[in-house]
Amino acid sequence: MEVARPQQPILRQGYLPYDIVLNILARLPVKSVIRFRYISKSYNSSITTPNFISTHLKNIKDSHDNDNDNGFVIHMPSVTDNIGFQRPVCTVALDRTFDRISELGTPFDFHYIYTQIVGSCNGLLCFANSANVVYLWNPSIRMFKKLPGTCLGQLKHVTLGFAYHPENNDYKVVRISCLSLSTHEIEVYTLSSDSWRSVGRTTGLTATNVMFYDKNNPLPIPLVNGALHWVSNVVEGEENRRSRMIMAFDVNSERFRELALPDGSVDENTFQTFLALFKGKLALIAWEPSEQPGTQYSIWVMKEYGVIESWNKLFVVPFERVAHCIAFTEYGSLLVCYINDQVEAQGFKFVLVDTETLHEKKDPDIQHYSSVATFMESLVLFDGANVVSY
Amino acid sequence: MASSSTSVVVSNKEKENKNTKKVTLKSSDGESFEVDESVAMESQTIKHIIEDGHYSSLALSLSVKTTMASSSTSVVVSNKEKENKNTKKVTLKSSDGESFEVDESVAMESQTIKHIIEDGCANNEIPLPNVTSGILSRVIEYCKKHKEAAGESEPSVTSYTSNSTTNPLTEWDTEFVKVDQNTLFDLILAANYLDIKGLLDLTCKTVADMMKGKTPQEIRETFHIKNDYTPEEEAEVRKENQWAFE
Repeated sequence: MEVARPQQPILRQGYLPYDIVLNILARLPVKSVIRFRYISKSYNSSITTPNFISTHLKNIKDSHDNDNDNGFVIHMPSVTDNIGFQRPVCTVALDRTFDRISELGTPFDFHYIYTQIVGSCNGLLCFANSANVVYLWNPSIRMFKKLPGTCLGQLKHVTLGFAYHPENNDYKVVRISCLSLSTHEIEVYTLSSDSWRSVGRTTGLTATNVMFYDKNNPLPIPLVNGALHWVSNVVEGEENRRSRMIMAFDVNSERFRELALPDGSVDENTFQTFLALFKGKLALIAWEPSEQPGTQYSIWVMKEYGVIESWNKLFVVPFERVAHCIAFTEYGSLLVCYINDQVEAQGFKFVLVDTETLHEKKDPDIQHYSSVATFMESLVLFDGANVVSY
Repeated sequence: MASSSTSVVVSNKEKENKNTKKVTLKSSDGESFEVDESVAMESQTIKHIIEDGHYSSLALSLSVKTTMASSSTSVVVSNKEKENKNTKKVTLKSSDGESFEVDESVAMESQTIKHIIEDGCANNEIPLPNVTSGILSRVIEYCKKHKEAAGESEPSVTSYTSNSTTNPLTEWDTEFVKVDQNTLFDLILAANYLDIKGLLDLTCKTVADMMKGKTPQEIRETFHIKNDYTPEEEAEVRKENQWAFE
């Protein structure tokens, strides 16, 4: 996009060339950049280009790398107990402690009861409700976009994943619709085309029949090494042998590949499994019985992506009571909730456990069964089409 | 003590002989390696043999196999090369005619200067018509400090970071940019022209930090930006992003 550059003398005392001023702007926090729109028309044009947005994002990530302590999460109640309540309030918190930083009202209406954060990439969040309405939202620039309706006929038993596509500097939403056991349809939405496109169902696979894709609720489907990962039940061979497997959807090629679960990680006694990210690597969280009274979570991490032998059980977190997994943060904190049935009258009780130290934080600042995702500031969506500002 | 006296002997020898004297080392399996005598004398064994005169004018027999001999020879040679490279100097000339002699390795913190030297275009002096002496001396100070901290013979590639545990120069850098705005801007221009990434990152980040609390009018004044919005257009944009101004 051609931008008119004002002519500025380069060597005059106190004058910085246009490109250098842009270099400086790209290091500012989001709110300050937004103010710059109003400085002059040419700067307004320049800061809404994909190039500027990418540079700005890179600067934010570089400063995060140097500042390990300040990661954030955003969480939203998944279930509203108030039927008239249509706009959930999201909370931004520190990822290590869940200490509340701020609250954000969702700027769009969700008309049904169950809502979730599908995923979070580079500051852009993807939200969906049980009526299959999907939104992309960047709270730091106060812009959101409602996605068009599905291009598939019918949607049943849906699971969604949200990904950044670096090859095209684009964002994708992947939707798998399970019409019946072993019949699935898959469609992909790309932000650049602002449309859904069907990608069939057996793309990339040969003999495997996928029975279902685990929704991973309430954890978002993890994006690792450019692929979205679902635990699935597959049926193989003439004997129709069933086994659990990870189906990885490569965001660039839009093809699935299979990954084995770690040996001995899952058996008929396992209550539930979840996939998550741990320090950039794929993690399997298995909720299972333990030898002591109560249950435990075993956390396996795939140290070298794609290498099955590199699965390593890194942590085991025991609980005396039934503890439901709500979230697993990127640095390894497990957030669980106990449903109070005997001790207190009602409601949820939460505990945040550091899986490395097993240090527990009782009563972190969260009250509802929630969807949790990472949060960061960025300008992503600033240059988007059909975007609503509020 | 032994190694330092070796190097003293070696440098004296280099000064004495214009054509460097060579010796031939012959390994146990018959391969010959011709090296500068000074290089060979990095080995105390060989040094003693040479000093005692117990060798023919052409060859020393060593009970060392070919591969070992060649690897130790090449190590010796490259050490010598590094020693010689370190002392090489280059002269930079500012726009107001002042000359600054600096170690070549320090000057190569600037990618611009590095390319000039590598292209063989640096004769005696490298003229820098876009940089005044006041700014150039500060830039050199930055490069020297960062080169020392990097401690390698390659130009340091550390970019400015705000975390003092990864960048031990954080405090020094913070003091370095405590200058008036005009000097800061001149440092940015110099870092841009000389292509010194660390300095450009440091100075731009400093200006960015200064910008955070400023009003749009203050920002326009700082950067001499002409407001080309009509009042109606300005009101329109401001309304769209009212929240950013609160």
